[in-house]
Amino acid sequence: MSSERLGLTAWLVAGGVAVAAVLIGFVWLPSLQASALGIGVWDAICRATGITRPAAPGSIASSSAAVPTTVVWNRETLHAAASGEAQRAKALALGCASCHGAEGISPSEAFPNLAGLSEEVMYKALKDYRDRKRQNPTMQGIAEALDDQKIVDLAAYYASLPLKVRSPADPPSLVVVGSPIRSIAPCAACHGPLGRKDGAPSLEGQKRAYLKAQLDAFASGTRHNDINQQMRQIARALSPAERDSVAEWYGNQHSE
Amino acid sequence: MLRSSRLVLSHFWLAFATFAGSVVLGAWQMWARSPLHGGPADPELYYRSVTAHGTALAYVFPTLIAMGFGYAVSVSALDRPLRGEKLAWTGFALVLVGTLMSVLAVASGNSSVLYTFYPPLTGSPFYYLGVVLVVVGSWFWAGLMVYNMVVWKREHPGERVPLAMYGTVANALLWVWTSVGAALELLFQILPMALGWTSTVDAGLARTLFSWTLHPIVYFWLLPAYVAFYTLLPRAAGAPLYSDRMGRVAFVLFLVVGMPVGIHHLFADPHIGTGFKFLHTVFTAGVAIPTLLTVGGITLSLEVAGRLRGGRGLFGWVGALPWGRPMVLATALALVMLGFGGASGLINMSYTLDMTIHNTQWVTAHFHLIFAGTVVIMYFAIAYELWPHLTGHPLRSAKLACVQLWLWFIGIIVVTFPWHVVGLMGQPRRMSSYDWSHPALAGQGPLVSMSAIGGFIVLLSAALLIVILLRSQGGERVEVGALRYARALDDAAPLPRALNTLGVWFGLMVALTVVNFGYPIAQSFVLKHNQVPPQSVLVGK
Repeated sequence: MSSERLGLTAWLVAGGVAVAAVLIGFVWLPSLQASALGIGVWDAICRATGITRPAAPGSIASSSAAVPTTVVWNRETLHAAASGEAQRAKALALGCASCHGAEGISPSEAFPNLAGLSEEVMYKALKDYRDRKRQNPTMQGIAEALDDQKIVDLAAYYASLPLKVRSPADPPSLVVVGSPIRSIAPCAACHGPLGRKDGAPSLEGQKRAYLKAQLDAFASGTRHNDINQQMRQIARALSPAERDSVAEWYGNQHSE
Repeated sequence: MLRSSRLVLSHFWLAFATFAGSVVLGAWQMWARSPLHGGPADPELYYRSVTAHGTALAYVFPTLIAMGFGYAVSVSALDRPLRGEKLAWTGFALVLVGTLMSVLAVASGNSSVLYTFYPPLTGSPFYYLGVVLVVVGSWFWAGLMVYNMVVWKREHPGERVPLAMYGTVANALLWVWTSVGAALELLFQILPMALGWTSTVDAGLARTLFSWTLHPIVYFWLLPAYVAFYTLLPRAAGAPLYSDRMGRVAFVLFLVVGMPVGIHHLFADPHIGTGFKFLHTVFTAGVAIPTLLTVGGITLSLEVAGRLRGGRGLFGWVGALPWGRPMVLATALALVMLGFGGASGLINMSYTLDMTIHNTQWVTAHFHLIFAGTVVIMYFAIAYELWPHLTGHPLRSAKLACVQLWLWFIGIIVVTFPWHVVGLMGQPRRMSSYDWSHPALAGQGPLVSMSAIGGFIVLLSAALLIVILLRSQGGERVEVGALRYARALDDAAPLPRALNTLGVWFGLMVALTVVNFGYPIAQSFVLKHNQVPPQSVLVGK
C-alpha cells in the first residue's frame, strides 16, 4: 500500500464549496431579504443565524393593544395557577354565586358554569379581565378588585367543585373531526371529551347561549385574548349555523 | 459455516420477526385509512399501530441487520474469530429487552407518541427506556466493529482493510455519532419529563437534537446495502468490482456530508435561522456525490460482468447478467427505486420546494420508497446471500427468492407512487382517517385504495420471505465454503492513506456537526419562553 495523500485540489474544492455555502446562506440571501423586509443588512444576517433580540420600541409587537394576553403558559405561570388554596376562597366565592351559582353551576344561560374548570382557565380568565385584555364591564370591575393570591385561590376553589355531565350521542363532525380542509382542528381535541390541552377550558356541560356568544365574539374580534388568534381564526371560518351547532352540542350536556 | 453463525443468525431472526409483525401493522394502517375500510378507524388503535410500526422498523429492524451483517463481515472479511463475542451477545440481549419493553409500552396504549417522540407529547417511561436500551445495545456492536478493525490493522501493518470491513466500520462510526442527538434528547429532556421530574420541556431543542439523529440514521440504514453493492454483488454477478477506491470514497463521504443534514427536517420550524437551513440543504445535496459515485461504480461493475458473460453492444450486457441470482436482481430493483426515491428526496431537501409538500403524504411516500424499497430489498438479498453460510443448508430456492423480490418491488411501487400523488394533492400525513364523503377529497380516494392494495402485496412478499428463510434452515446439508468478497480491478493500485483509516473522517464529522448544529443548540439555552408543559398520552389521562 502506498502512503499517497489525498490531493490538495480535493481539499480546496471541498473547502471552497463550504465557504461559498456559508457566504450564500448567511450573507447573500439575507441581504436580498433585507431590502424586501425593509430591515438592515446586519439585522438580516443575524436573523439568518437565528439570533433574536427584542423588537424596537414603538413597533407593532410592543404596543399594548396588539398583545392579546399577558398570560403565557410556561413553568412559572403553570406553577402559579396551581398554587391556590380552595378553602381560602370559599367566602370570596359567595360574591360570585348570584351569577355563577352557589356550587359553580350558573342559574342563567348567559353566565358560564365555573364548576370543574381547570385552575389555568380561571387564572387566565380573571387575569385577562383584570388586565382589560378581555372585555366585560362587570367582570373587569370584579377582577380589578382581586390580587394574585385571590385569583389563584378562586381558581383552586372552582376547580375543586364537581361538574357531572352527560354526553349526548352523535356529536357534530366539527366537534370530533374538525374541518381539515379549512384547517379547523376538532373542538373535542382541546376542549374535551377527546383530549384536553393546558389552558383550554373543558366545554362539556357549559351554557349554550354563553358558548354561542363567545364564538360570535371571537368571530367578530370583540373577544381577542387568544394568543396567535387561534380561536379567532377558527370562529371566523365557521358559519353562524356551525357555531350554533357546536354550542348546542356542548350545551346539551346538562349536568345531572 | 461462518464463525459466530449463531450470533449472526440470532440478530437476523429477531430482525425479521420484528419486521414481519410491523409489516402486518403497516398494511393494516394503509387499509384502515383508505376508502376500502368503510368508515373511520379507531384513532387510538391507529396511532398505537403507527408508533409500533415506526419504532420497530426505524430503531430495531435495521439496527439488528446492521449488527448481524457487521459481525458476519468482521469474521469473514478479516478471516479471524470475533473478538469480544460475549459483549456482542450482551448487546443483543439489550436490544431484545429494549424491544420488548417498547413494544409492550406501545401495546398498552400508553405510548402513542409516534417513533419521532414529538415532545411535549409524553408517553410511558418504559417506552423511551426501551428505545434507549436498543441504542445502547447497538453501541456495543459499534465498539466491537472498531475494536476488531483496529486489532486487525495492528496485526497487518501496511495492508489495506478489506472494503467490506471498511464500510462496516464507517457505518458503525456514523451510527455512534448520529445516535448521540436522540440519546441526549431522550436522556436529558424526554425521560425527565416522562418520569415527572420536570414540568416543562423545550420542544424546539428536542426537535433540533432529534434532527441530528434523523436524518443521518437513514444513511446508517443504507450503508449495509452499500457494503453489499460493493462487495457481494460483483461476486454474485461474476466479475470484479470496478473500483475499490470509489467505494472507500463513497463510505467516507457519507461520514462527512451525511451528518449535518438533519435541519432539512426543520424547514418549517421558526426556532432555526434561515442560514442554517440553507447550509443543511447544501450538505444534503452533497449526499448526491457518494450516491452517484456508487450508482456509477456499481453499474460499471455490472457492465464488466455482463460483458464477461458474453453480452455485446450498448445494452446487450444487461440481458447477459445472471438475473436468477437474488443479489443481482435485488440490486437492480433497488437502484430503480433509489432513482425515483432520490428524485422525490430532491424536493424534500430544497428549502423552498419543500414548502409545497411539507407534512403531506409525499414525505411518507418518499421515505417508504427509499427505506422499505431500496434499503430493505437489499437486506433481503444480504440474508439470502448469508443464509447458506449461517445454516449450512442451501437456499430453497433462489427462484422463489426472486419471486419474493419481484413481489416486494411491485408492492412498494404500487404503495408509494399513488402515495406521492395524493401528497401533491395536499393530503396531510399522520391522519387516522379522512372524510371520503367530502367532495374535495373525491380524486384522492381511488389512489389511496390503490396504495392500500400495494400494502397487501408487500405483506404477501414479507410472508414469502419468512417461508423461504424457514425452509432454508432445513433439508440436506451442503458444504458452502467460506463467505468471500469481490476483488477489485484496482486492488493493486496505490491507496491514499486517508482511505485506509477512518479517524480523520470521524473527526471531520464531529467538527462539521459542531459548526452546523452548535449555534442552533446553544441558542436554546439562551432563549426564554421556549418551555412548554408536557401533554400526557397515558391511558385515562
